Amino acid sequence: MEFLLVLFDDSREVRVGDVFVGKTNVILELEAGIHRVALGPPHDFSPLDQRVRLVNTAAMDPCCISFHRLPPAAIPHSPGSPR
Amino acid sequence: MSRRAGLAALLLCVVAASGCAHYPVNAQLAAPSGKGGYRFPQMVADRPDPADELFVCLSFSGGGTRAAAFSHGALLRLRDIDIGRGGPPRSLLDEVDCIAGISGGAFTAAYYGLFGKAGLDTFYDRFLKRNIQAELALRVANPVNLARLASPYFSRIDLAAELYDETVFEGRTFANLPPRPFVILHATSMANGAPFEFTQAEFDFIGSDLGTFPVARAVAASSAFPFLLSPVSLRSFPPPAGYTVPDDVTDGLEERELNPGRYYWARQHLDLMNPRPKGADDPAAEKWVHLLDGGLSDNIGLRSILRAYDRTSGFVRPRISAGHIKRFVVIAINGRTDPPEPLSRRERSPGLVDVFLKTATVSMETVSFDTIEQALRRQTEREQAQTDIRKCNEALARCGASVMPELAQEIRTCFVHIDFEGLPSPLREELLNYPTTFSLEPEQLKRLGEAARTLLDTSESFQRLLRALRGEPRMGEGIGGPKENCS
Repeated sequence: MEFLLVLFDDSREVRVGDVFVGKTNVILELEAGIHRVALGPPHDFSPLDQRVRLVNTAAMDPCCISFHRLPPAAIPHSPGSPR
Repeated sequence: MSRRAGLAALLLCVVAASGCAHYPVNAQLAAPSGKGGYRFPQMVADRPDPADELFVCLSFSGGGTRAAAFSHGALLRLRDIDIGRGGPPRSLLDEVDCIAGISGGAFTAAYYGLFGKAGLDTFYDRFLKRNIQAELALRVANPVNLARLASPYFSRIDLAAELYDETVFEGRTFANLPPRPFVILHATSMANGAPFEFTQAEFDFIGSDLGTFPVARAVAASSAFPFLLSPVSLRSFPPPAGYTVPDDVTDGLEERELNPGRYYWARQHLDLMNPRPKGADDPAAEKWVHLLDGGLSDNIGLRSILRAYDRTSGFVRPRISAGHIKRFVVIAINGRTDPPEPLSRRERSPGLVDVFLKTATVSMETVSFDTIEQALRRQTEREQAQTDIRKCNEALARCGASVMPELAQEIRTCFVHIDFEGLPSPLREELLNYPTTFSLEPEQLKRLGEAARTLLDTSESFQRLLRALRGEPRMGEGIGGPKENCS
C-alpha cells in the first residue's frame, strides 16, 4: 500500500471519483498507481481535483498534496442555488 | 396407434424437449444499479455503524463436501464462542460481516447467508450427509433430462443447479440474501482465468440484475469442476444508459507497470462488458461469460477480501480510512488436502488423463499459497506503518517538536489460517487424504467438524484474538513478551 496526505485548512472528506477514501490532514492508505483525488462538498476549494501517482511512499514519508480554500467571491456558482 | 407411430411421437417429444431446453438466462438491468442491489451496505463517513468496529471476514475454500463440512464445523465453533465480556451473551458468529466461498465452501457460505444460525442445524441433513453425486447421476439418467441434455443450451451443470435450487436453496435468489454477512461466491471466467464474484458490482459490468439470479446457480458455477461439470453461462448485456465505469477501473488502466494487479483487474472487468451499440446501424453483438469452478483462480477465497481491503471501491478500505473499523479479522478455513502422489513413483510419462486432471487442479495450490502470503503481508505492513508513526510521534513529542499527521485510526489486524496440517498425527494424515467429492461417510463428516473446532481452539492467533475480544490480558504481557498479531 502507498500513503497519501491531503492538506486542507479544515477537516474535509477526500474522494477518489465518488468514493470516500478518508479525510484531509490524516495519512491515507491507497493502492499504488494513479488516483484522481478531490474533496467532498462544499465546492469551495481549488483545484477541482488532482491526479496523483502513488509510488515509493512510506507511512512516515507520504505523498503530500494540498487544496486551497477559495475566497467566497471565487466559489463557482452551482446551478439552482441562490446568488 | 401403431408401434411405429408411437416411436415417432416419442422421438418428436424428445426432439421438442431438447429443442426447448435452455438454461435460465440472467436478467438485464433496466437502469444503472447505482448503489443498490446485492453489495455491501453503503457507508456514511460521519455516522459510524457499530457493526463495523469489529469487522470479521471468513473465507471458505473449495474441496467438495469435505470443504463444506469443515467450514460448517468452523461456523458451529464461532457460534459457541461468547465474546460478551460478562454482559449479555454475544456470539463471535454474530460479528461476521463477510464470507467468501469457493466451490464446496460456497455451499456453506450461501446456505448460512440465506438461512442464518437456524440453517446451521439443517445444513447437515439438507446437504452434507447426502450423496449429491449419485442424485445428480440419477437426474442425468432420467429420460426427460437426457432429452434436455441433447440441447446445446442445456448441460449437466444446469441439472446440478436445478438440483441445488430445489433441494438445498429453496429457490432463493440474491434478493433474499440479507446485507450482512455479505456473501461473495466465486467462480472463474473461462475467457481469461479471472475470478468472477457474484455481487451486483460485478454484474454491473455485464449489465445484469443479480437480484433475480438464483443463489443455487451461483453455487453451481463456483463448483463447476472442469471436465466433470460444464460451465455456467451468463449473458453480458450492453450496460444501461447512464452507467459509468468505476473510477478505480479507469485509473487502474492508466498504470500497468506500477500496479499490474490493479491494471489486469481493470482489464478483466472491461473484458466482461458488451459495449453499447453506437447507433441504429450498429446492432448489439451477443456476448456471453462462461464460468468454471472458482478454485481455478482462488481456491481459498481470500482474493476478494484482499481486494475489498486494497481497492478504493472495496467495502473494507473506506471503513478503515473513516476510522470505523477498529479491529479487522480474517479467518481462512482451508480444507485443502495433500494425498500421496503416485505419479512421482512412475518411470513412464503421465498419460493424457493424468495430465488433464493435473492441469485442472495444480494451479489451485499455487494460487492458494500466494494469497495466504499476501494476506499475511498486508497484516504486517499495516501494523508496521502504525508502529512507525506512533514511535516517531512519541520521539518528536519527547523533543517538544510538533508531531506528524497520523492514520485515521490505529486498527488491530488479525489473520487466522487453519488447515489440516495443524492437526495431530494420525488424524492429520487421514484428513489430508479425504477425497474431493460430493459424498462423504457420516464418520468422515463428524471428524471434519471436530477438526475445525480443534484447529480453532489450538490456533495461537485465534486464541490471542479471543483473549483480546474478551478484554483479557495478552499472552506474555507483563513478562516482556513481544506484542503479537491478533492481540
